Amino acid sequence: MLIQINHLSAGYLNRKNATMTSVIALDRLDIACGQHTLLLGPSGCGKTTLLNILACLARPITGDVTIDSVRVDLLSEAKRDHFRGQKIGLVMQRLHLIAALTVSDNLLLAQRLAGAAKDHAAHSSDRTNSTNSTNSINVMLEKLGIAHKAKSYPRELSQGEAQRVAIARAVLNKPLLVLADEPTSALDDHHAEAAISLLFEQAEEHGATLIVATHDARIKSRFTHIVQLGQSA
Amino acid sequence: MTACTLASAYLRERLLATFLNILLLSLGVGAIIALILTLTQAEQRMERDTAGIDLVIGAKGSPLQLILSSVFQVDIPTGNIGLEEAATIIALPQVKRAVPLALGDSYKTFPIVGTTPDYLHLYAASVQSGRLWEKPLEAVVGAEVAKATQLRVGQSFAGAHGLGTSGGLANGNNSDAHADHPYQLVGILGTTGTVIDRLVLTSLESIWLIHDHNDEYEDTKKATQETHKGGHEVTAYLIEYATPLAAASFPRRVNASSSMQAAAPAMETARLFALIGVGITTLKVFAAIMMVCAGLGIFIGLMNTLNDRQADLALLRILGASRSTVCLTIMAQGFALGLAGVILGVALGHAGGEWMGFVIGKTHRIPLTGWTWANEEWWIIAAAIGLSMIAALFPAWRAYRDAVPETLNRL
Repeated sequence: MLIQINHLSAGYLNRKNATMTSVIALDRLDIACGQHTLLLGPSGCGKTTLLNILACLARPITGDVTIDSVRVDLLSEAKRDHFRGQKIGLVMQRLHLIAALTVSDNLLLAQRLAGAAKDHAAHSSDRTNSTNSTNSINVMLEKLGIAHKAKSYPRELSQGEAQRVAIARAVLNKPLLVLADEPTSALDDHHAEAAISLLFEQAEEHGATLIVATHDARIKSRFTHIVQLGQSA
Repeated sequence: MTACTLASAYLRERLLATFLNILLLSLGVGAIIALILTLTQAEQRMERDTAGIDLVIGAKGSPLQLILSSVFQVDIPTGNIGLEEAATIIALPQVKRAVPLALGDSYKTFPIVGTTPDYLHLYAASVQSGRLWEKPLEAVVGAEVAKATQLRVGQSFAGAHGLGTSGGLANGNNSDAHADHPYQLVGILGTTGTVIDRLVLTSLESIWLIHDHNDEYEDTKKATQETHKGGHEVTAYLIEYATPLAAASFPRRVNASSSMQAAAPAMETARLFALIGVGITTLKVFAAIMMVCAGLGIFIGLMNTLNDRQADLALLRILGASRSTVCLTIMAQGFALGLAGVILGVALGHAGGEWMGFVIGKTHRIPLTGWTWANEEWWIIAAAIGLSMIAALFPAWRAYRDAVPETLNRL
């Protein structure tokens, strides 16, 4: 089992009185390896909160979360950052790329942030590693049809292109899990279809399990495993 | 590594703001360093020029003027003193060494000083080529004079009456005032880094010889004194005490019991620095304010970009960067700005010091250079980099504190 969640309650910290406000309660959620999942529900049902928990960006109020046999809710923040960098790829709705870096530098950065500890042993072959990373980045951009934009800055890309780069970055480190938050809701039918197809394709190709949180019912048909949020909770 | 790459990308993204921050900081650093270089060298020079001189005895007048004219050779003398009256004073047991000076003439704006070889010992000067004067009208010149006038050993030259600087006495049209008594150059001194480098030295007898035959050029006072007393005169005596205790009673004795005055170089230079100290302090404060403004500029710049880059920083965390990496990215920007500002500032400061040497050296004859290093500069460097880091501290802490889900919510 890739993900196991038990008796989860999650929400946000109320800064004024330092209490947690729960926005989602989930008794049990199991997701197997390769079981692409859709988290479906209206706005405000706690999809993003759940996604943040899965991405190790936030800790639950109660309950336990196990990803790849690691109790991520017990990890320290630095360890969760590390875990996220190595095992989880994220695609956000609008927030795609770092504006100050070129497309290929954006991808290189993701590789570096994830690989900071991973390649510790292979430190001596740093040079070969970096040529390898540049190569794999070029190959990936080639496949996504945006190789000619490798040296472009994000402001020179269209929204669709930026999202494609973001998807490329999410799968770049061969993560176990690709999480996407509303990847299609800002897109028209045609582009939404293309985006979800690309996500599936890339997740499959890199052996990752895809989890999409959305209120966009258009992409419902693509998933066999759908978790409906906001009704039963 | 990652933090540095990002920091440099961020700084390059806002090239103009980055450049302005660096420029502002470097102007502050440069101004302070140029000031320090000039002051340090002026003080060092003054220290070297007054070393070994405990007291100066000369004609009554302004003690500061006496010191400026007879020690630093930058002012007109207060007048002359009779050899006989001075002899009774310098014979006192408190006096270890008394070097007589006869001033008033110059050669191409370089003062001609009639003195004894003791004067050379005072500054540890030695003859580099040729020899010391032996007869009247033989002269040796300091290294700087030799370089500026291209005089060679064996050549002869005529002195002019007056100092030819700002003394108001004749220079140009009267420059051949003593043409009938030319000096013969017999030696050139090695560089000492003291006042002696820009002097023409000769024996007292040379000065007396020239002026005994040129009474029409003397001021009336001196002429009357000479006819009345019939004795020779000197301008000042540089005194070295036999014991430090002499400082307590000796100057008072001179001032009270003779027509001469005694002035201590240490006291007069201290007074001089007290006078110009206000100006120096003002300049220093001004430069410090400039540095603080630069720090503030960095702070404001980082705070502004922080707001614009909230999304970027959240994205970094999403990609697996830790809080400390994000924080480091901001600190690295502050450090890079500080370092660049300091490097440019040190370069500007030294170039400024060299330029000051060019300007001041021409008018005031104090050799200054930008190509030296003052220890205080390390403090300025540390302060400027520290200031930039402090300016980055709060923005970095803000970036450190931000929780990603909250940031994402705000976007």
